[in-house]
Amino acid sequence: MEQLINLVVVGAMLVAGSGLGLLLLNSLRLEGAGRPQQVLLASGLGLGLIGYVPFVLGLSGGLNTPALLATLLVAVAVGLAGWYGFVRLGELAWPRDIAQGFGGRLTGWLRALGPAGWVLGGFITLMGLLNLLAAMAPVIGIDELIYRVRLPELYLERGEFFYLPTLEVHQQPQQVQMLQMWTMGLGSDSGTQIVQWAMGLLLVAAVVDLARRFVPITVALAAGAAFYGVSDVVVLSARAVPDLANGLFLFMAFAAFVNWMDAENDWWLVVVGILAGLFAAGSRLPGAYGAIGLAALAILYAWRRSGGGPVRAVSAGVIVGVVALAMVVPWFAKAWALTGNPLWPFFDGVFGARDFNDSAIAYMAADQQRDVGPWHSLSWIVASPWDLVFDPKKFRSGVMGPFILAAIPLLAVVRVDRRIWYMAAGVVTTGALWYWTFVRLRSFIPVVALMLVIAAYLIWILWRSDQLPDWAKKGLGGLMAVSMTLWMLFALGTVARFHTDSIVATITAQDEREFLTERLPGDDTGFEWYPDYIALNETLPAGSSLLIWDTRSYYLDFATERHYLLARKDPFPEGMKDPQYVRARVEELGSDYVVLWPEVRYVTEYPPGMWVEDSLHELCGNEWPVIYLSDKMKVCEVVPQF
Amino acid sequence: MLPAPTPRTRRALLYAAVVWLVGIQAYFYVDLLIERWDQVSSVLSRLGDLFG
Repeated sequence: MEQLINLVVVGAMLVAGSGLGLLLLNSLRLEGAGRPQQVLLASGLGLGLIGYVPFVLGLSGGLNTPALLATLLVAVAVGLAGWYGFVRLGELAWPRDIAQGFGGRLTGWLRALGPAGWVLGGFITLMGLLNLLAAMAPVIGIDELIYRVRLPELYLERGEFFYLPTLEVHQQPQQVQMLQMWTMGLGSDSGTQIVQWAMGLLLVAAVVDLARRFVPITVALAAGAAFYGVSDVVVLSARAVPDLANGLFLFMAFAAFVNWMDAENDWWLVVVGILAGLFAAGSRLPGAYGAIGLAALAILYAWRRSGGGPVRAVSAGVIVGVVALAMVVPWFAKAWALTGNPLWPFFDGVFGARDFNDSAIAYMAADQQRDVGPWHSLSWIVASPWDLVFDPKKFRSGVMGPFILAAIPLLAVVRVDRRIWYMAAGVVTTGALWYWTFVRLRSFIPVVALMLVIAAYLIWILWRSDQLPDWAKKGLGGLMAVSMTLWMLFALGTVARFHTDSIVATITAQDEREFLTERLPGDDTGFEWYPDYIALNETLPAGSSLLIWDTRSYYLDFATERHYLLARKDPFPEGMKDPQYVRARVEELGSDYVVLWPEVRYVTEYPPGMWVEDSLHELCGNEWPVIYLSDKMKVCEVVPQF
Repeated sequence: MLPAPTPRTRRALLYAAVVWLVGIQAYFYVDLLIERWDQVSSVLSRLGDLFG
């Protein structure tokens, strides 16, 4: 029943979002390249924009189930109006198609597809079904337990946004989490995963649709299947992290950009700006790469093609940039209202950083530099196209497959459509910024999708080139078929590796506790405290406040703060060496219990953070009684000094 | 500006691109099988447990 409600809520959101987008496109008098693309563009626009509804509810303190239900019903009514207009326009424009009937069109389309198309379409359908079953299982992902699902859960409990010092990421833009609020408020938390599953399928459809503009449908389906097999896409199709929804936003921004190149109607640039802004609003701070890259591409194109000179070129870029910025400004305003810094905790020199001392800020900056430092060396930059394919662990990424790297040289040897060149230029402008700021494949998913469209086009052009003899064409076609088959098997293997337990749990209606106890310690999640959390939930008094080592507090029924916070915010970090000083800080914070590993396991390399942990272990068992001990967890009750 | 390649050069470049296209894909799957054999075998054994 719970899953049925989730599916109904997600379906309602899809109707509401896509219908709102159709209304918006219609009011701007914009027509995409075909009706499927119009729907996909509308879905990207509308689903992103309706995320501002829970956002406003969160700001105004009205984030509760009745308000979410009422606003969803209104949004569905608006969406249905959008769809009504779209279908009516369709009747006027394509009376023969409608007269032929949907069933007849579908049969004819399937017949025209041929066996290769059936296999590729069947693969996408099978993957979609398996991913849906996995998405219906309880939430297990790492980031979800820390903040992706945990924070919306806390906001829903309080009915509003609030300041939570312990998580550095919680003031950054989280547009997609707003969308997921509806499923969390009206259905269950698994619904957040179903939202991503749906977004993933829309993104696959968008890849097929954009590719279809340049290549036959079978090749376009191959591009979609290749994309659906990218291991990050497979994993995230059943997880509640926002990268697939964000991927849809930015990919549709690229599609809108192609429409702008075709029509040179600047309203398309506004659409590009909205979608790129939604990508930034859903991707935390590094997501700005999409908008900046597309603004640069607009300048490049307008300069070379439009003939309006530098003023025209700059104005094209400014439209994209300003509209995109407008989409993110509400999030910056929220962070400013709650912390005094719109980009908290960054740019502390200008805005200050609430609950960060100078040494913690310096450590955070150095830590980021350590993380991205090697990426900025010349050898890493030069090797990155190769490494992203053959050594993705270097980038904490999954496997993206061989097609893109294999097809790159074809850009230099086959005759390429002008729009494909500009799409490749878009890969360069966005890719350079992405590489500089945040090299993880999952934040690059929309550009990977675009590159697969380009790769499919290049391989197709090569295959039909009259410069290749027949035997070479046949050999190439056969090898591509073998390669696609192997890739699809690899994708199914990825499903088996990451989702088998979730699929089985859904099909067999496995008990949630049993499933989570078995699944959460897995090698991809590595969370070993779930049974201890259950024990704490059943024994500690309701309303307790816990000072805790691990940030994954989703399955814990208490308010938590990280003990690292003590060191991060204290104006006298040296004091963390003194257990009595730490004891006073814990009491000030109002924590009732301290939760640790039985032995010291430093959560950070920030020295004051390590001293805190040493001091807490010193206090726990000596000054404070141990009230719970397992082979993985030690819990002490904070006994006030006076 | 580079001079336009002759038809012969173009054909040679085209064949080189085809070799790269096919070679990268072949190398990818061989590398995948070697590098990730432990993962492949664990997936197979898990599926074996499930359906066996």
